Formats: sequence, structure tokens, C-alpha cells
Amino acid sequence: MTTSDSEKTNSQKFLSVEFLGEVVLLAVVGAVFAYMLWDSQEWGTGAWLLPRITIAFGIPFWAWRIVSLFRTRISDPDAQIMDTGFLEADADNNVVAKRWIKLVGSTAGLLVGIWLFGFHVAVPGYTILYLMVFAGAKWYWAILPAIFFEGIMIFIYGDILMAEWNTPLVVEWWNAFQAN
Amino acid sequence: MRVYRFISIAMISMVLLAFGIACGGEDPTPTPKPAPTATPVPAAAPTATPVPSSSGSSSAAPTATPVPPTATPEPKFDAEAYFGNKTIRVITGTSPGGGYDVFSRLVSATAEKYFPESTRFVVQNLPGGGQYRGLRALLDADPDGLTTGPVHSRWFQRQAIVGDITDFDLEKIYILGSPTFSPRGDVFCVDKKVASSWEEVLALGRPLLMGAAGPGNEPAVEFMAKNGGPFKLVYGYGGTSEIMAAFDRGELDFTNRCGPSTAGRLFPEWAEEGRLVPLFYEKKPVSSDYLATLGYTGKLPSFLDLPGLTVDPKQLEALQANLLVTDLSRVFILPEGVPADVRKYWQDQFDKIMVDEGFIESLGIAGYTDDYGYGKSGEMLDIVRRVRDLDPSTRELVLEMSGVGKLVVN
Amino acid sequence: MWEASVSAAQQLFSPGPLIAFAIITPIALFNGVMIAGGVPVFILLLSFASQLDPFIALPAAVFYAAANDATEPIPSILIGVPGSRGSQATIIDGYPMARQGRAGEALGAVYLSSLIGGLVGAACLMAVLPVAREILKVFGSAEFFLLGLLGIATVALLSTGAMVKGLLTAAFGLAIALIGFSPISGEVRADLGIGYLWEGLPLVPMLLGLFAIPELANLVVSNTSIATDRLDEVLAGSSGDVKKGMRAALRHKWLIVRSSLIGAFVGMMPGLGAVPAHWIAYAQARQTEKGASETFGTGDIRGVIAPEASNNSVDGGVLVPTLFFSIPGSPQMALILAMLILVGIQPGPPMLDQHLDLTIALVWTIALANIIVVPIVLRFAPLIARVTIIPPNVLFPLVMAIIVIGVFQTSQSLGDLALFAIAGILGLFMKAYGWPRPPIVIAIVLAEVVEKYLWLSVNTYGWTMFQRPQFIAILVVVLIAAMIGMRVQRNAAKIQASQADSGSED
Repeated sequence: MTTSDSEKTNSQKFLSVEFLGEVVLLAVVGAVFAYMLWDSQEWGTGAWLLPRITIAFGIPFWAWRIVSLFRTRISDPDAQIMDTGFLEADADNNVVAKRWIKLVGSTAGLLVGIWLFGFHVAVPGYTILYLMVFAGAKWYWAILPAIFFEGIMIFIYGDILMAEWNTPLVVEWWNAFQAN
Repeated sequence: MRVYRFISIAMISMVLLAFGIACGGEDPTPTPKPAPTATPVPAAAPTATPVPSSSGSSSAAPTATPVPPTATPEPKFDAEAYFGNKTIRVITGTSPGGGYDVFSRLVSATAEKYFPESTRFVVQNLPGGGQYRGLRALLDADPDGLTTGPVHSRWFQRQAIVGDITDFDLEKIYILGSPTFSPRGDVFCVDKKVASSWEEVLALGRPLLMGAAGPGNEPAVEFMAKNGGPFKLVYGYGGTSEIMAAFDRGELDFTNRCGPSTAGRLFPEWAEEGRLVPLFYEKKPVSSDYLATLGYTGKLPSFLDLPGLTVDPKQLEALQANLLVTDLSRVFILPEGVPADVRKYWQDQFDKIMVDEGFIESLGIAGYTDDYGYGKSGEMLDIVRRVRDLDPSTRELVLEMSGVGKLVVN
Repeated sequence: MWEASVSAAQQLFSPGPLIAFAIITPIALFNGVMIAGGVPVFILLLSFASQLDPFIALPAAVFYAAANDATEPIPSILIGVPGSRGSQATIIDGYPMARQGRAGEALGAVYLSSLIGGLVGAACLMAVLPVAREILKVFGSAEFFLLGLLGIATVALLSTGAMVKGLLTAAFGLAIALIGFSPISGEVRADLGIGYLWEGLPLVPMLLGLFAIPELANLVVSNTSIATDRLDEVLAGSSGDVKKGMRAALRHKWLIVRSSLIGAFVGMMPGLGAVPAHWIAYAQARQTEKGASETFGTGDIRGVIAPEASNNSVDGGVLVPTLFFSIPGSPQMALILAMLILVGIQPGPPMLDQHLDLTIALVWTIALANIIVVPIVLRFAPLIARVTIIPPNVLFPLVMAIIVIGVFQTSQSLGDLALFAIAGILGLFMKAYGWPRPPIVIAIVLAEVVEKYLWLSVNTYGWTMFQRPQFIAILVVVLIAAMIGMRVQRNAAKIQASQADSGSED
């Protein structure tokens, strides 16, 4: 995420995504430090020693980062490790926005689907739907990975390891309905 | 084509939905269902009072209570019919490889010898919440005798002392027992490089360092440290092996991991080099033969008999109760509501598992030989009742000593 | 020793173990590709351990551990998602290589260095066998604490141009890693009243959330495949790239040996394992190799050689505390320890005495695993590299499905999926704003070790720890590493500034 700093007014910079996003991050970090410090009042010495050392070490850097952020009014995404940064997505912001919605929506759908319908429905269903709708795959190709995942879940995890899966919410509702 | 695609997707989705609802797995914490019907039992015959055995001795005074002429003997429990081709889950609240996991696997492996051949034992790992998740799964399991598992000491002890864990009534669940209930014997030793006798320890001018996993794990030494004894407990060691390694490199001066199977297992050179100086015991002394190998002659004193120790009577009462409570560890249970005949069968097999030679040997390899002592349901419930009968202020002391006072529950 | 070696060879090269290796090899290869685990081989082996011969069960477990370590760089390089604890640093240069269409070259370099690293690790273990217990007795809680701290500090200091953010993230990571039960007092800390947090933040959901979601999001939103260059060469699947990578690895053989020795040494310290080992190896490469401060992070092949050599040599080191002291050298070793007990083998001095043949067999198993698995992966590396040209809308759902299955099965809790989602959102923010994510993961892995050993050191040694020669030696290494790290930072900043100046002049 790069920005053209000189083209914005001060207030625009403070309201920019580049600025606000990092404020959110700093707020999260600060909240964690504050909560931990507050909660540590009730802990024994062995329990609070390292947390307080950590917070004492982290707070100066947190403050330093806040000061430099407000000074420069921009985050610096170039300086990082294990990252090649975000790629240039598309000139058209609408296209980028749609892709984000697709990404977030499908991931949320998968996770909610697992909660509602369980792994055996949500995972193959998600795979098939995503491949058919977004990747344009034919149904007979899309069904292959779905069968593979279902096979792993049933045979390897289910039969061999006797591992269990969550009870879908719809099953719980159904059981409750039947009990009534 | 779009309509066709939409219909295809909708149909596939409905098929998957139906399929999933029909056979979408079991919840690791299943909601309790009504108890299944166990082996049919005819109208219960009144329990007969014990009669003298053929050898002439009896455990109870024989009485002349007559057996009603219409009493029907209970049919023998058909284990093959009930447990055959079934899977028994042994729920453990640690990840694979953890202490309780190994323990559960040892029990499972031995149990397969005593249950019907077609019965399968599977260890199910449900880590989380300090093993609370495993406990909840155990308590919420179907009362069909197909689920068991060990309860972590912290939860059992907490429930014994405070009793605030939901749906964990120690009188209603079925306690099978524990193999580490009444240890064979213990001994506490100081490093000879530091001191050679209790008098030298007192003259040292500094406390002896002893390692422990966490508060409540060493009740005797914690008690002495609080009452002016020359000890300092250092918490945070991961277990017996780490404590022994720390003692070996001189980081700690004092340990109770100097028994015949702990020290002999990992550090046999300690005894050979005469490095261990026994000072006292906590519950029961180790054998004099073993003490002799450490170069100790004479009677090993209890920690309560050590000179220089002042003991407050109330504290002592709490300590003695706490020493009993610490025996409530690695207790195997069945959930509430398991039919009586199924429970009885389980208990009979569990008794055999606990005294199985292969099992005891495996416990030794896992480092539990010094802790071994089979404790049964009745003995454990006795302890629970004794603790519950203490006056509230003494129970508070017990709670503080046990280390489970600050535990978060529910 | 000779008799034990002969006995080890006879037992190891018998049908039982060899069949076990043949079965495990494809599973290890499969699991290496499957992020978040795949088939949980250890659990399977544990389930059957008591029924298996020790000379089958234990070599099978060690073979799997070593083979798995050899295959786990694949997702790190191809997708930028750590395949394991010990392959995070590989992403720094491995993933850029994949983006440049040089995945085959990266795989070739990684696998040859893994092979050599694994052999060095096995050789180190063999060499220290007679004195292994004595070596470990020299190091105590104070030294273990320093090494754990070195692991966390190394990653923070590697954040070129963002050291403040790196250190801040390390502190943040350490803070959240301390949520849950205290290993000292057993108190539950900062759990927000949520029972799920009592045991702290589990590693797998955090690791995958922080890395997988942002990297996959990057591909989907930009609608590009992983490789953006040399697509034709990748598609052609020629082995030329792989061989080029192997030759590059051979040119840096001393780097491989140095990194391997680091891995073997750090692996011997109880509880530390591959995570600090491979980061320390990466950091030493960056600080000692010529021109590394400018090129590391952009696809420098040395940046994948160093951590992977170390990652594989660790397998030899971690067996030392596990077998000889019954203290697991890493989480995987806890399972091996459990298996030892279940098959009826006493860990400790008997491993050097009546079970010496088994110990030697395990050493050879590490070497064998690398010898068998690495050529197979190298053979298929060009094919594997083609993952980098799969369209994102095909790759994304497949990877996500694998991840959610693996994340849930870590502890069969929906809480893990929720945490995965939260970590994913956090990871997106961090990626967007240039906050390094590895320090959080390292902190989660090492927090308990660091906290425990800090407390133990303070309470057992106190100030006298500063008089211990071993402590001073490691402290000097830590301080030198910190100073070099800061000097590298200053040099990098100067170079960036001068590049910016010359760019603006143009």
C-alpha cells in the first residue's frame, strides 16, 4: 500500500487508510498491554514477572511508533521481513473491492458453514461452489477435490484415528426440535 | 446455461447437506442422552448378608438373616454382548505425548487384555483449559460405559475441597480408582556436596533449593518452608526428569526424586557415588534395604519429627488433610448414570488392570513406580468426605496448601 | 560400540523397519505439501505403538520426523505459508524466489542443504553419543533462557528498516503468548473469562492465520499466480532450475556446515528445537555472508540454504535430551518419548547401555530418511514447482480447505477456527502496514521456555549466573549478534537512503 503523501491535506492524511489502519494495530497492541498490566495486579510474582518485563520493554517502542506515525502520517510497508508486500492489484478500485468481498465472503462462508452444517457439508460444498463460481471449473472437475477432502475426513480422521468433528448447529436444532 | 448451472449447484448443495446432516460426526462434548437399556436384570434380589467362607473365616460377622425363598440370582453380565465390537473412548485432556496421554495409553493397552477381544480402546485427546475440556467431555458423555478417562488432580482436588465444578458430583459419578493413590514409600534427600545431615542443613545459613512443577505439588516441604524450615521451593520445572537433571547439574540441592525407581532409572550414579543423603519421609518411608544402598542406617524420621520444626495444630490438621488430598490424582472415572452391572464389570476389569504386572512395569518405565499404589473408589470417597467434614477455616487452609485455590472453574 | 552398530544395522535393515519406511515415505511427502499436518502419523504410531516391535515403532517415528522436516519447506517456498515451525525463515528468500519463477532453483538448493544438514546432524549425534550426557550437564536454566531469548531477539533484529516495529511485535507476541496458565504458579492470566484461552494461544491456528490468509489474500486480490516471472520455464518443468539450485548449495558448503552445526547445538538444548535454531542460522548467514544485508529478503539463495540446513540437523540434536534425559527436545520429541515408554524402552542411561543398538539405529534412521526422501523430492521438484503457476481462484479454495481441516483437528475445537480467523485479520493488517509477523510466532513457541527458565535462573542462580562461563559465552554471542544486527540495520538504512537520493536525483 503506497500513497502519494504530498497530494493529501493534513486532515486527509489522518483519515487515510494508511494512517487509520496502523492506528488500529497500535490500539490493539496498547489494549493488550494495558489489560495484561491491569490483570497482573492479582497474580503472584512468578506469574507477573515476565509479562511486566515484556510490557515495560514494549511500551517505549509502542510510544516511539505512535510518535513517528503521527509525524510522518504514513505507515511504511516497505520495511518488513518475510514479505514481498501486497501486489499491485488492479487500476480499477471496484474490481479490487469485489475481489476483497469475494475473499472475505467466501472465507466467512466457509467458517460459518462449518459451524452451521459441519465439515462434511461445508468443506466439499465450499470447494465445489468456489471452483465452479469463481474459477469457472466444470462440476465434474470441481467435485474431485471435494471427494478427496471428504475421503480424508471420513477414512483417515474418522475411521483410522476415530477423530471427531463438531456437531453442526442445524443438527443441534433438529435434536432440540425432536426432543420437544 | 446459467439456470442449469444454478440448479446443478443447488442440487449438489442439497445432497451434501442431507448427507452431512445424516452422518456429520459426533461432538467431542456430546449432549447427554437418556441411559441406554443395559442387560435386562430381573427383579432385584435383596442383598444377602455375608456368610462365612469355606475356610471358616469371614470379613464380616455372620448373621442369620434368611435369604427370601423367591430371590432370583442375577444373570451374569454378558460382556461379549455388551462390549463386543464396540469402541471404548479413553478421554484425556492433554495432547498426544503428554503425561496423562501416555498414562491413558498404558491403561488402554492393558485393558484390551481383560475386555472382550473385539472391544477396541481408543484414546481421544481433548486438550484445553488445563484438562478441563477433557473433564467436561467425560462428564457429559453417554452413561453407557463406553467412555472413561483420568481426571487431572487439580480438578479432582478442587472438587473434593470446594465442590464448585458444575455437574461433577463425586458421590454420583463412578470412581474406578487410581494407580498412584498410595505411594509405596518416599524419601527426601539432600546433595552430599551441600550437607550430610539435618544438623548441617540447619547450620547452612541458607535455604535448600527444591524444584517442583507448581504450588501444591510438595505439601510437606511447602509446609515446612512456611513454618520456618530451611527450604525454598522453585516452581516451574516441567516434571520429574527436568527436576532430576537440575539436581544433577547442581542447580538444586534437595529432592524427593531419589527413590529406588526415579534415581535408579535416570541417574544410577547418584547412589553409586554416595551423593544422596536421606533426611526424612513425607507419607511412608522407603524400604530400609534401599536406604542402606544410600549409606543410610537407622530409622528415617518423618518430616514432622524433625528437630527445630514448630507446628501449629490447625495448620497440622490442614496439612494432614492436604496430604490425603494429594493422593487424588490420575483418578479414572465413569460418568454418572452408568448401569450397575456395567459399572461392576468395569470395576472388576479395572482391578485386574491395576495389578497387572505388565502395566506396573510400564508405569515404572514411565517413571511412576515410586508413586504406584492402587487406590479404590471407597478409599477416595472417604478422603473427600473427611475433607468436607473439616471446619470451613481449616478447609480454607487446605485449599491454600493444595495449590488449586486460584484455579478458575466453569 | 562396534557390536551395537552391527546389531543396529541388522535390525534396521530388516524387512519390518524397511516396510515401515516405505509406507511412511509417501505419507511424509504428502504431509509436507498438506499445510497444517495432513495425516497425523505420530498419533497413528502412538495408537499402535504397544503392539509394534521397538525396532519398527521408533525408527518409523524418527524416520517420519526427519522426512517431514525435509518436505515441509515446500509450502514455505511455494505459497509463503510456513509448513512447520522450522521453515519460517525459509519464506524470507524462498517465497520471493518462487515469485520470480525460481521455485525449482529454491527447491534444489533447499533439498541439497537439507540432505547435508541432516547428515551433519546425524554425524554430530553419533560423535557426541559417548559424552552427550556430560555435555548437557554443562548447560543449565540460565543458558537455556538466554538461548530462548536469542531466538526471539534474532527475529526482531532482522526486521531491516523496521527494527522498532520488529521489537514492538516481539513484545506484543510475547505478551499474548503469556495468556493462559502460568507455568510457574498455575494461575490463569489475562484470559478475558474465556475457558478456551486457559491453555494459551495454540500455535497452529496462529501460525496459519497470520501467514496463510494474508498471502492467499494477496494472490486472490491481485488475481495473479504465485510466480509472476519465467512462467514458461516453470510450466516446462525442466530440471535445469533444480540442478542450478543444487550447484548453488554446493558452492556454499561451508555455510551449510556452519548452519548445520548451529542446528545440532541448539537442538540439544531442551525445549528449544527447530524454531530458534533455524532463525539463528538465518541470522548468522545474514550477518556473515558477503553482501547479504543488501540481498537477503529479495530471493538470495543463501537465505534458504542456511535455515533449511539447520532445520534438518536439529533432528539429531533434539534426540540428545529426549533419549538421554527423558526431556523432550521439541514437541515432536515428546511424542517420541511417549512412544519409547509405550514400547517398553527406558529412556536415560539405558539408551547408552543396553539399548545402544537402538540409539545408533535412530541416528542412522535420520540419515536414511534424508537419503531416501530428498532425491524423491528433487525428482519431482519441477512438477511441484508448477504449483506456483496455478491460478489463484483454483489454489485458494484447495489450500483453505486443507488448512481448516488441519486447524480444527489440532485439538478438535471450533475455538481454533475462530482464532485462525482472528489471526488472519491481524495478519492482514500487519502485512499491510509493514509489521513483521514472525516475531509473534517465535514468541508463542518460545514464551514458555523463556519464562520458565528466566524464573528458574533467577531463583536458583540469582546474580551468580553472571559468573558462569557458559552463561557469559552465550551472552557475549547474544550481544555480538545484537550489535551486528544493529550495524546491519544502519548500513541497510544508509543504502536505502542513498538509493532514494540517487533515484530522486534522476
